[in-house]
Amino acid sequence: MGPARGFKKRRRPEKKADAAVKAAADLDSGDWWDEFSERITGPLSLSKEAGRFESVLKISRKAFNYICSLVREDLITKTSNFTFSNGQQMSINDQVAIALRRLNSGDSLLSIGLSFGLNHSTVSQVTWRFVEAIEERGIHHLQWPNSEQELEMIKSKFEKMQGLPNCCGAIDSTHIMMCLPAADASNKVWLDPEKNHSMVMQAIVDPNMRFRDIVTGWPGSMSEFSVLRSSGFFKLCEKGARLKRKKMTELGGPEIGEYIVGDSAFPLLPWLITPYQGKELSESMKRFNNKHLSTRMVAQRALTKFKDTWRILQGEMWRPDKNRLPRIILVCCVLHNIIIDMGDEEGGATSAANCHDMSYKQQICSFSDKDGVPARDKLSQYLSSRLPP
Amino acid sequence: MLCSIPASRASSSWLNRLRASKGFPVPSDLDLEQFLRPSSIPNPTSPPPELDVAGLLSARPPRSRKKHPPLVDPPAPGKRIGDDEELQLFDLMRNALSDLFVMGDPRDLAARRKGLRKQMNPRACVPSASASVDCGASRAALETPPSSADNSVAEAQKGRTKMRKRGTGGQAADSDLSAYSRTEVTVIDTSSSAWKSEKALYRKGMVWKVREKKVGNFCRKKRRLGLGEKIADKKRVRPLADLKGRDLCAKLESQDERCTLIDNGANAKEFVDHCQMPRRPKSWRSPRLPQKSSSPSKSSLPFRLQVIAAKK
Repeated sequence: MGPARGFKKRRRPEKKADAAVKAAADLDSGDWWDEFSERITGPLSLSKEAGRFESVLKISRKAFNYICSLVREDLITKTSNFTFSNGQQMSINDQVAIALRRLNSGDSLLSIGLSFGLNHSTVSQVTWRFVEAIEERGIHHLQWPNSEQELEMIKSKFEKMQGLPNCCGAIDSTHIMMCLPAADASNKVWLDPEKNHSMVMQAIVDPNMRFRDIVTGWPGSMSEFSVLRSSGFFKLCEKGARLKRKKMTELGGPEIGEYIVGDSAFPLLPWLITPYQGKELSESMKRFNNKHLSTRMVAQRALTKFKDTWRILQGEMWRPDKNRLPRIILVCCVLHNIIIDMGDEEGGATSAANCHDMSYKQQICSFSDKDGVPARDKLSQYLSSRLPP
Repeated sequence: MLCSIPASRASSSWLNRLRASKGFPVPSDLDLEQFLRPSSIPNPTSPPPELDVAGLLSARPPRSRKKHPPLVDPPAPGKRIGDDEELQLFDLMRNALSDLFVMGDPRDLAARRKGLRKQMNPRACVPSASASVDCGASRAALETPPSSADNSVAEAQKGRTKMRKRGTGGQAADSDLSAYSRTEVTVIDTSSSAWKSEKALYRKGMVWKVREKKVGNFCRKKRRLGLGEKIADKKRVRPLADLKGRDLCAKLESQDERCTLIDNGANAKEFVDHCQMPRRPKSWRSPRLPQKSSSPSKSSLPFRLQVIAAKK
């Protein structure tokens, strides 16, 4: 009876996939949230707004539906099914909701498992599948502007902020903290200057606080300058493939190329303008620094909002898989952009402090490129000339 | 076991020429072994005559490993004064031989047999691979990032890194990197063509070196997929297909330790074209054979037939 047994084996995954599709379709038709919110138990159920969709998942329903549509196909094709502890099969919406809760609450696997009636390992598996699916399907939400028109829009928005022409983005870095055993000598490399184990994340942000470029995975002991230098963005800019060097701002005005703005932790380059350093600065320099600070503040706000929303990255993970963590960070960045793209004002509470790296001292990079100094001077000169008399 | 054949007859002419060129008298009774060894201990297991030179080189005392010893060594504490003349002669001869052959480690005879055809320790000037990345770096250092994109360094390292065994993971056999602590990291870089890459990070103080990690099991995931998933996978529209292909290519490239990231689209496309997954395993085919395309080309067909005939 060999062939019959083989036939049975082959049929099983198809059955499972069919069941998953059916379950997803059934739940889409009714109000899935009503049923799901009833399942919430434990401390989460005791909160006043437990029944409110946005307070639990921290995104709008519109954004949630969009995310579900993005990952549906990927999650359906996975063969194994996930069930709640009462034996009920999990729909796509259930899986997305649990993964989102895991990523944005900062709660442990055990705690989330208790809240939704799940085993903690199921929470882990569901979250990781969701991460893989978003990584595959949602990466187009995080990319450098691929058309001139899009870049022009970004530049004009930056110019409207503080008058900086041709600015294409604001760069900043933050540390994603981890709990690693200090006794293990191999973990020393993850110790940052503040003696925390962390992973560096570098982001270039547009005026809408959307991430346009991400570099992460490097250990905390690596300086922000080193992370920048090893990035693809740096190489593209140095080759001239990204951020054009010379462009006339207006007839007769100084030549100012495209650039991004960053704080003193970054080097001064023709395409990366940093503030003037030192104590004895002229009035025009101070004015430039103020405008520069206000412009690059968008990156700080974005990172603060990002870490406030996706608290799994703020909650000092206990011995995380360092190969998986960068991918989780990337997915959180994609979700951050999706929330903005959906016009979602609900997502994430913005902290008043605008500080994403609390208790971290400002790193100072003394490097100035010989072409970077005149570029900054030209920009400062241009801004001074535009001042009202 | 072959008995030792006196080397003097076989190699007398070249030895005599060599001695004559260096201005030594040519005694008729002095054997080559006797000549090279001050305290001539007969060696019953000397190699066959065709490997005579190798045998002689390997039979040198350990201290003679030094490439360019001074012409006249001060007498060692336990050394007989009367042997000085012989020692000088021996050292001179050793210098002459070391000019002709590269004197390496005599321990591994098997390796030497292979290595004799080529210089084992070519005296090439290898540029320093260190790339300090502290903030006070010069513009030149800025332009040559510490990453794997540094081709010159990567090329210089290539020879040595090839010697590393695949999958050893923890220890870097690279002599230059032995003092560095190694950390394996997964780096996400959305501006890089391979936006997800595994790298080996070497750190010594403020000096960082980044190498692409060798990935030998890049197609394991594909193999694990079931039939149903394979079909679904083919049907699926993949917005990231291009990126994934580049990623795969970058991994393939890193296997070869060329350590170059794909920077422009043209290159990436070229790599994608070369990196098609084999549809069926070709275990019978030598991995060294060039794999130009998935379909057998005209030029490769006769070669395959030859391989099959040879197997028969």
